[in-house]
Amino acid sequence: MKTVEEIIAHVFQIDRSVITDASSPNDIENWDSFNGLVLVTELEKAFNVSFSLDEVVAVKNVGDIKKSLKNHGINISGTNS
Amino acid sequence: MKFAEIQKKTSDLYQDPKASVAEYLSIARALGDVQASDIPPYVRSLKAAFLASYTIQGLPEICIGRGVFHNVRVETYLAPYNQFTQEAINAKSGLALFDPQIIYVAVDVPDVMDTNHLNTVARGLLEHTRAKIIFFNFVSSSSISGERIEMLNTMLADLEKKEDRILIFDFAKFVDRIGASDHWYTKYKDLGDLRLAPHAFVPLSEELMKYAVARAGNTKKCLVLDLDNTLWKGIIGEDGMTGIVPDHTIQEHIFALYEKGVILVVNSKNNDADAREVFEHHPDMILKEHHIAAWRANWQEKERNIVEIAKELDLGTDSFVFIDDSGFEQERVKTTFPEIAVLSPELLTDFSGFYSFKVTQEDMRRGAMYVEERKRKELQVSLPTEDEFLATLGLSLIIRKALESDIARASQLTQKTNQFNVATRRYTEDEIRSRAQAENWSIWLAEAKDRFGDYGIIGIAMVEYADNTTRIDNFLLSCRILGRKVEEVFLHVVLDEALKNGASRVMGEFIPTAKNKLCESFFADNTFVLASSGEKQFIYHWTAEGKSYTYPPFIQLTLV
Repeated sequence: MKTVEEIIAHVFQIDRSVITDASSPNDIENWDSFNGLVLVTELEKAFNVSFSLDEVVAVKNVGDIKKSLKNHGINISGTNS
Repeated sequence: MKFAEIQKKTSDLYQDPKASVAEYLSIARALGDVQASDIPPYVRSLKAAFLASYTIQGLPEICIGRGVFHNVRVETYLAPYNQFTQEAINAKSGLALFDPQIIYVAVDVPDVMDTNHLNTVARGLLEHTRAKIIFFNFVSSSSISGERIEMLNTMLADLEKKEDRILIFDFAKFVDRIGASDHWYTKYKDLGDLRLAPHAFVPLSEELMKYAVARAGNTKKCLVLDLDNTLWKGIIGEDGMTGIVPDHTIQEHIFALYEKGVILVVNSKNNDADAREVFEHHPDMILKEHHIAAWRANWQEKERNIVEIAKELDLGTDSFVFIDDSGFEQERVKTTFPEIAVLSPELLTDFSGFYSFKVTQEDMRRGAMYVEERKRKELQVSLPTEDEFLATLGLSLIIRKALESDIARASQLTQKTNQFNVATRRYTEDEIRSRAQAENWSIWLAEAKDRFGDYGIIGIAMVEYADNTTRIDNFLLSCRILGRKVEEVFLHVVLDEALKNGASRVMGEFIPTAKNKLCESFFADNTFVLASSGEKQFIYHWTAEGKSYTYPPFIQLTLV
């Protein structure tokens, strides 16, 4: 199973090490609206969840994504290793 | 990344039903950096434009990735969001300047005013480009009147009928197949007007590729088939005829391809006879041996078979599709032949590479033509003259008189031989022995061997000399040696010996039984003349006058 960071790194074509919970469209150049939606589909597929419209719209940074996943019962604490 | 690496990656992705949009996007990016000189000549270029009334960003990139798998290098143009009308009617639009060979038009019902609007778009595209134009048909939904959708779809059907360059893609059927509720008008519509969810793009791209493949002229020609666990469930060599279950779904699909002109070949690790047995005698097989243009059921590497098949059919391997359930075989073929489309059997039905715009009479006949060609070649190869064939066997024949040590075998042969046995006289060992010792009898034995082995004693001739007539009392040969002219050589040796003994006439008898029809014309075929015939006995006479016999050169004869 890929980690959240790995999926983000892959979608935005960036190095995993630069990703923090504070990372957002402001500092990740490829995080435009389209790639943001690609990220949603990748996360939904990888963790077998379905985000609501409100959840997607509410995401402002990587930390928000993790919070959303937690709300869906996904334990991501161990996925960062 | 090297082009070969990208090829390998797209091939791996093709096999993976969970392959993500992001993977394809990264392939499209990598392809942008590939040098033109790094791309093999069998990869054709194609310019494809996308015109849509909603967001399909990402779809062109996925088509680029998919194209690599189909040996097509797709260059794309995506018209600005919901500007399909302007792009179509403006002679100087980005679309027109791109000069596409193919245009995909994905317009949704709410964005079309009426049929006139649709017609205007179609006319504009026909006038300003020379592309094949692929219109997505309209998907029905609860919020739109069915009448309106029907009207628009009828308009499309009308255009398709009138215009060679316009084709309809059954998008409604596609959406239905992948599941409308999960893919059409989901939350992604509200997020970025992605009316089709992005995860539908990968299967959609495969559907769209068929037009690209056909337009680029890269339609696949030949389907290379594995057998066990591909055409049938089970392994014929282990499970046997009753244990395997032919897969009708895949066979029906393959048969439909055959009827469209796809050349079918077998490439299987199997005993040839086992594999043929299934094609010839399994009642549930849809595919038959006469649908197969080249046949390789053997134990050599599949790659080697592929090279041979390509040579035999005179086809480039870039027109091959290989299906096999074994990941190991897939991997080997992929690595050796990056140009071949390698598929798991279950992916064949959705594979687009065999598509062509028009199926001609010649196409429909092509599969059969290749089969006929194979049969013709097989005849040429497998049928040299009979003598040439026999010469390759290296047959040697020893003819000698029976010794005491042969008595048991000689008796046994008279007891057991049924088919090539002119008189079928059964003798005990004692009866054989007493005749072998008699002055006026000769018991001749024939021993044979060839390059395959030693057959031992395979024939007996028992001959009785009386005055000037020699009588052939018994003449028989084991069936496994027939068809090599051994019987006539043996007979002529007996005749020569009779002449040496002073005989002027030789008598042969054919006594019919339920099983010896095989030799009923034996004497007549060898210049004997029928002297008398009754219900139970045919008597033939042979005289030396004017008769000559040339011993066949391919039998090495030793007379002891």
